[in-house]
Amino acid sequence: MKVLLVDDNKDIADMVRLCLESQDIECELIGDGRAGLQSIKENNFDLILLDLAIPEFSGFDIFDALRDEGLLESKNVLIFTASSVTDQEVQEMLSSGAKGVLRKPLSIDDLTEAVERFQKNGN
Amino acid sequence: MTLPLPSNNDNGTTTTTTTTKIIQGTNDVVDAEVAFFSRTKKIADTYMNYTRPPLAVGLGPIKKAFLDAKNRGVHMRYLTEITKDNLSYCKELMSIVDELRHLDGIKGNFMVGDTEYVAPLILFEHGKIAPQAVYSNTKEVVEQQQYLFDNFWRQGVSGEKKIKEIEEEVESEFLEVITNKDDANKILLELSKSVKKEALFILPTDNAMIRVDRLGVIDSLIDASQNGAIIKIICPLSEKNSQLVSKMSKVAPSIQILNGSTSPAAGIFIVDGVKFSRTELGEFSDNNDKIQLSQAARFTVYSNSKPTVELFRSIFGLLWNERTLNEQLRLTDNMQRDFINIAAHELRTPIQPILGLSQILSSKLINTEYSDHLNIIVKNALKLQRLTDDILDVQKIESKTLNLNKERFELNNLILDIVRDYRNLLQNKEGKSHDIEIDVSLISKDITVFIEADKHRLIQVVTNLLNNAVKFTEEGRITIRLDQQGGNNLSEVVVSVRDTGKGIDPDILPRLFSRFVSKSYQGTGLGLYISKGIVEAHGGKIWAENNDGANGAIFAFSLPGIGTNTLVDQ
Repeated sequence: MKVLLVDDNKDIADMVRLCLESQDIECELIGDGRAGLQSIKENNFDLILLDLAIPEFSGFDIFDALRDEGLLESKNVLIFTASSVTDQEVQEMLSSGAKGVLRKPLSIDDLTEAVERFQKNGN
Repeated sequence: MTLPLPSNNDNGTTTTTTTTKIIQGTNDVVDAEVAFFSRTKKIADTYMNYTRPPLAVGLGPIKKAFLDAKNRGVHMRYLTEITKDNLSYCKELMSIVDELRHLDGIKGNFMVGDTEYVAPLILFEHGKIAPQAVYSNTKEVVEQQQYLFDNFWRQGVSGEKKIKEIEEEVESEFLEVITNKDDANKILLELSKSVKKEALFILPTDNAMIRVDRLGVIDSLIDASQNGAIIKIICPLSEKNSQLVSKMSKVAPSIQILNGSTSPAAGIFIVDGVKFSRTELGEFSDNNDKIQLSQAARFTVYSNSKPTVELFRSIFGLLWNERTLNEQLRLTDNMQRDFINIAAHELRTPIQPILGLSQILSSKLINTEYSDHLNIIVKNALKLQRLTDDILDVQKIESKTLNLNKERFELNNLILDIVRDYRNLLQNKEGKSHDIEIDVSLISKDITVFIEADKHRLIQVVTNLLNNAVKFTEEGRITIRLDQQGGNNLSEVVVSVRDTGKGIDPDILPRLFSRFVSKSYQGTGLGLYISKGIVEAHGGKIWAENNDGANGAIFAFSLPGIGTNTLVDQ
C-alpha cells in the first residue's frame, strides 16, 4: 500500500511516516501544495492524507482543483486537519467526494485504523 | 393731592429745593409716580420686579403717565423679569416704552429720570400698590441710581427674545390620542420633519423601521442629521432592515443605531426634548412585511407634556447606555471566543507529533526502564487532545453554534451498543476496572423508545456519565436505566446512571455542571458541563444526586420522546 501525505508540518509528517512504515505501509511526504497536487495527479496512491492549512497553495486549493477536474472519485482523499473547519465545510467536502475527515491530533491506533481501511478496500 | 417737591410751578420754572423722603399711602405713591413721569423730560428708566408690569398697564393713571411721557418724546427704558404670568403685560409695555429688557431674579423697584428718583417699596405681592415709596431729587441719589440702572440694563437681555422663548415654551400643553391611522402617520412625519436638535426613536420591530421609512420619516431624520441634529435609534436589527441601516450609515454616518428590542408592541419618538409620539401596535403578529404602519398602529399618543417627555428622554438615556454597554460586552466576548477558538486549534497541531511519536516509542520500548516515562507522556498528550476537543465543544455550546445532526432512532439499542462497547473498553484496560459490572435496565424488552437526537452527541453524553461513574467507583456495580414518562404518548425519556462509588462531594454538588469543577485528575473538568450543554440543546435536562441511604451517586438526563411501540399484544 502506498500513502501520500501532503502537510507542511515536517514533525507531523515524520511522525506519520514512522507510524505507517512500522505497519509496512509505504508513505511519501510532500510539504508544498502545488507539488502535492501534481504528485496526486501523476501517481496512483492508495490513499492521500491532505492537510488543509498549507501556506500559499492550501489543502483547500488542492481539494478544489481535484474536485473541479473530477478526480475525487478515483482518488481516496482523507482530510487530515487541525484547522477550525466548520461542520458545514466538512459536510460539503464529504459530499464532494472526500472519503473522510481525520481531526488532528489523533492517536497512532486511530491513524493506523483509518489508513488500513483503505488497504482492505484496495485489495 | 400732595405733590412731592420740587414741583412745576405755573410759569414752568422748577424750584430747586432738594429732598429725600418717604411717601406714605398708596394714593400718594401713585401720585408720586405719575408726577415723576410728567416732570421728566429726557429719560425715564424703570426697574421693576415681575409683579409690577401688570400694574404699569393695568392702573389707569400710571398707564396714562407712561403714554403721556412717550408722547412728549421721553426716552423710556423698562427692565423687569419677564415670566409666563406677566407675559401679556410685558408685550403691551413693549409697545409703549422705547426698549424693554429682561433680567432674571429682579428684586425691588425703582424709577429714575433726569433729576428724580422714585422707589415704590414693595416686594412680590401681586396686584398690590406699594404702600410707601422713597422719593429723592438729591443729585447724588439720582446719579447713583442712574449708574445702578445702567449696570442692570447692560446685564438685561432683549425682552422681545425672552418673550418669544417663553411663548415657545408655554405653547399650550396638549395630549392627543389618535386612533385614525392617517392622522397618526401625518403626525409622525411632521414630527420627523420638525427635528432641529435631537430625535430619539425606539422602534419596536425590524418591520417598524421599514414602515416608518415608507412614510418618509427616515429621510427626514437623515436630513436633520445632516443639519447637525443628534439622531439615536434603538431597533431590533435583522436581515429585513439591514439594507435600510446600511443606507443610513452611508448617507448620514452620525445617526446612531443600536440593536435592541424593548417591547415588541410599542414605539416612542421623542423630538427635541419637547414632543413625543408613542405608538402602540395591535396584538397581531408583526411578521407580515406588507403591513403599513397605518395598519399596524392601534393608537398613537401625541403630546408635548413636559414631565412625560422628560421621563421618556431619561428612560431612553438609560436604555441607550445599557445597550451600548451590552454591545461592547458582546464584542469583547466575541473577541475572546475567537481567541480561544484559534488558540485551541493552534494547540492541536503540536500535540500531534508529541502524541504520535511518544506512542510509537512506547510501542517499541515495552517493558524497558523507559516505558513508564513514555506512558506518562502519552497519557498527558491524550489529555491535551481531550482538552482541546472539550474546549472547542464548550465554545460551540456557549456561542450556541452546536450543530445537532438530529435523526430519529431507537434508544434501547443505542444504550445496549454503548454499554457493550464500554464493557469491551474496560476489559482491555488494566487495573481496577475488572471489579466493576455494568447492568442495563430497560423499560421493557418489548417496548422500543424513539427519540429524535444527534446520535454521536448522545453517545458522548452517555459515555461521559459512564466514565464519571467508573472513575469514582473502586468496585461494585453501575446500573444504567431507561425510564419513560407519559405512557404510550411518550413525553419524556430519562436515562440514569447509578453507581455504588463514594458519591458526590457535597461541596461541589451545587456546581457540578459548571466548568472546571472536578475532583478527578483524569478528566478535563469540562465533561459534565458539555453534557449539560448537549442535553439542553436537545430540549432536555440533566441532574445529579447522591443515592438515598446507600453509597454512590445517580446522574440522569431527560430528553423529549416522540413515541413508543409495543411489540407484544397491545
